Amino acid sequence: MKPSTIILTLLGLASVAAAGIIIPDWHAPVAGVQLGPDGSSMVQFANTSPWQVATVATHGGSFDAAIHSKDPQLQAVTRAMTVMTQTINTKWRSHVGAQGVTCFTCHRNQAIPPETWFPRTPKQTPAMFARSENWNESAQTVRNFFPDNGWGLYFLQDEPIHVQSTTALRSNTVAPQLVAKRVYEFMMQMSDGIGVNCGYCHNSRALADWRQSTPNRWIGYNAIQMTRDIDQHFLLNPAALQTREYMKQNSLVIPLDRSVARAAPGLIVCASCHYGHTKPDTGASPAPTRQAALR
Amino acid sequence: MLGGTLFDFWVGPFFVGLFGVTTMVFTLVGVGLILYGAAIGPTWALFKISINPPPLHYGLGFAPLRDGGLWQWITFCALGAFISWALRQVEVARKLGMGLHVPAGFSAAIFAYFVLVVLRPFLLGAWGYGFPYGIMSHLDWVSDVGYQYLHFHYNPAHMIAVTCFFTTCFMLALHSGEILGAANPGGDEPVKYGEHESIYFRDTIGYSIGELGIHRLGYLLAINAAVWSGICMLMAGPFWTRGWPYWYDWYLNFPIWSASGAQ
Amino acid sequence: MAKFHTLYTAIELIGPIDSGLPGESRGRPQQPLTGYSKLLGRIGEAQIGPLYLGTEGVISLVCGFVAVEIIGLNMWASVDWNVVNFVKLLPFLSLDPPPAKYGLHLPPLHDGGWWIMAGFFLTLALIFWWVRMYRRARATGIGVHIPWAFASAIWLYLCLGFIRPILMGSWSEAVPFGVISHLNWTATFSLRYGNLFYNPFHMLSIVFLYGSALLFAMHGGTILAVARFGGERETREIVDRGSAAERAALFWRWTMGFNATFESIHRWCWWFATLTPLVGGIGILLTGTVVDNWYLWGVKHGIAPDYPSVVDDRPPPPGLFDPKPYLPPK
Repeated sequence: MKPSTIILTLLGLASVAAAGIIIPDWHAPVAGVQLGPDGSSMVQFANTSPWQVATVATHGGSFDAAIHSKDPQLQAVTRAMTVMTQTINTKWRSHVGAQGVTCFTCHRNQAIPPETWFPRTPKQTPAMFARSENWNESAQTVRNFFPDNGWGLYFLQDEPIHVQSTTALRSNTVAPQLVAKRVYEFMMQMSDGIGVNCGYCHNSRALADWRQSTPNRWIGYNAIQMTRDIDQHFLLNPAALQTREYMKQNSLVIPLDRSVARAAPGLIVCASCHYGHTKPDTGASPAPTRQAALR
Repeated sequence: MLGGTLFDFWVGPFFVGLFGVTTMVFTLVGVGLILYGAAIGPTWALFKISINPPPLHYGLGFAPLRDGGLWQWITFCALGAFISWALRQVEVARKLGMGLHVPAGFSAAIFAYFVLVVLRPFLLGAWGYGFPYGIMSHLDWVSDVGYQYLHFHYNPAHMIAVTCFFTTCFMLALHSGEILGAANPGGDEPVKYGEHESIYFRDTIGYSIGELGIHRLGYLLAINAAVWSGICMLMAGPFWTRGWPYWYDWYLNFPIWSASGAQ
Repeated sequence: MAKFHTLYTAIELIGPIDSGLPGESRGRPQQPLTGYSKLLGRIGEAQIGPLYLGTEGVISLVCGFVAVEIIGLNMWASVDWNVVNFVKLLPFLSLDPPPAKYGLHLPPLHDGGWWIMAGFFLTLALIFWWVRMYRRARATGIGVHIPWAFASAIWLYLCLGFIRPILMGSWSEAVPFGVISHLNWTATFSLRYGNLFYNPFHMLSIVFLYGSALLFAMHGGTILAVARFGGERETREIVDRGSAAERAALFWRWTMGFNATFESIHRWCWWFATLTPLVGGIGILLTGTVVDNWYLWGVKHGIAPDYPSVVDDRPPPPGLFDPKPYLPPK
């Protein structure tokens, strides 16, 4: 074979490989039926309007039917989700602004939002061997691979995020190495979730200094407070736990690489609404008023 | 020689040559522009002086002098001076009947600089992506660009470049220690030559690369350090825009992991 | 006819195995793995081995083996002894130092004890290896410049894993054993202490590191350029300067106005390479013990550039740790 043929073939193979390796994608969900890992179908949702709560095929119908349903679990779930959406759009205008969110923002036409977070149980190593970091060994994306302790530490608790010292010389105000590591993981995943980098909010020579940060840092600060509110008050409470029962009874399947603990019906993180964009998609254009959305 | 014998003379120990003249011209203009940039800036404190590239909105065009244009001219003069210096090294080497390895090695470093201030900004669409000329400000740039990719240590080309740097330092310590040890054995010991040098490394690490080999190794390692540094910055921005840890998605999905029964 | 090539060896010479120092050569050519490699011979010398074991060499290898086994087995345990997962996740696996709550006390095995043990054996291995390098230098009849450069590297290693944790009062400050985890440690360390680029000893260490790369490119290139005159026989050129040394010196004299000699260039190189870890270790030791935030230290000493603010002067959100002003007092 001529050398030029070989070279061209290799170049062609290399570019195909590079396309697979280098071009990122978000595996953004598409409308329609999604199959679980064992082949059983997840519930199909109607998409007549993103402003309606996703309905269950077995029950059929609309938001009105769901909220007035005789099935206590379906009714509880619908009510809880509605109150949550209302809270985000009123109490947390400091983060979501006039655009607000809709059901579509997280759910994207699926029963289980594709980017929810399920806390993982800590890894159990054999008795006398060293404890190890909680990497998610079965993850298929780096997003799911990284330890999730940061999410638990800063979303499920009201822990202040503090790392750097405010004095040049020693003053015992620096966070320990492990805390700094968790903050770094948290911030990194947050950045990836909204499709930005550290410089969007911070000046890296003085990350803690608000006077050298951008206005976006305020939006991010409010985002963290909002996510704490939602995770702690809506997604961890008993009413929400009923959702889990409901899901189990209706054979809703959670993809394998996110399913380790199922401690809650799924908690939200930044990517849950943002899907890698700075402004989440509400699924409607032009955006209707919030009153119309909740009718 | 280019320029014939017109510039074939020395000033003190310095050989001039045509490229000596061009180097001086570029250097004087460039340093003059740097001093001018410092003068119209806010400070003369050495570590705080910074000549900044144009704001991004000028794209790849010429910026006004006070708003990044100075930086552009200084960059032009710098590249001119570095390339002239390398070509002058070629002239000197040829005069002395030597190989051209030194200017070739220097070209690797010029390549890295060229990537940072010309090629990468060109591919990204604005001169403003170059680094500022200031002692602390260029470090701030490195830090900021690094964090733009969330965790730059995960850049695979950066890993290779860093490995090359540390290995170069290690090999340099071994080589220089070896020669100094052979030439300064201490006490009444006679000076040692190649056979003894080889014995030391065969005894201690099982292999001696030899007198010529170590210079090949060091030369190649040092050049690779510069070249991979350039490659790592060429990747970051023009070819990859997310955080570097997230590049490894392909690794987690390697078919062999699932084919062999891992989870 | 074959030409002389500087970058690779066109004609390889194979002769009898060089068996080491006279008086130590009995049986050594028959050592296992001793022989020739034509591939290596293209770049350097073709002979591999024989190795000198020696007492301290054996102790060092045993201690090193123990350390590697501790690290590796703990990593393997952390993936439930699954071989495929071990291979797949090897870059991410790690043996971590104890958490902060134990201070400098010895922690239980599962909570940092193995790290302490691995660190202990690795340190022993390095120290015995240092002794080996020293004694072999004396036996070969060469000076001890390599051992002293090695000592500088050991200094940095001890600063990172031993001296600084003791000064900070906690083993948790030390570096974990792991490919990705030690990189995460480095980045986290810089984040904690206000951006290590502002640490002057870090700056100096980088100067020496990049300077080492510069010097080896210069020196390696120079020797290769005069290889046609036998320039690679450096000790010969040192004691009896020949055309190679003269041309090399003139090259740099005419290029940059001054030059080294065949011996003094190796002194330049030795100092740059040795000062890299020496100064770096000092920078590590000062971080957290004396200085808590290097950027603020830079502001205090007038080296931090003043950038115009991109944000209004709203105070930070309430309830956070209230920072003192970052601008130097007027």
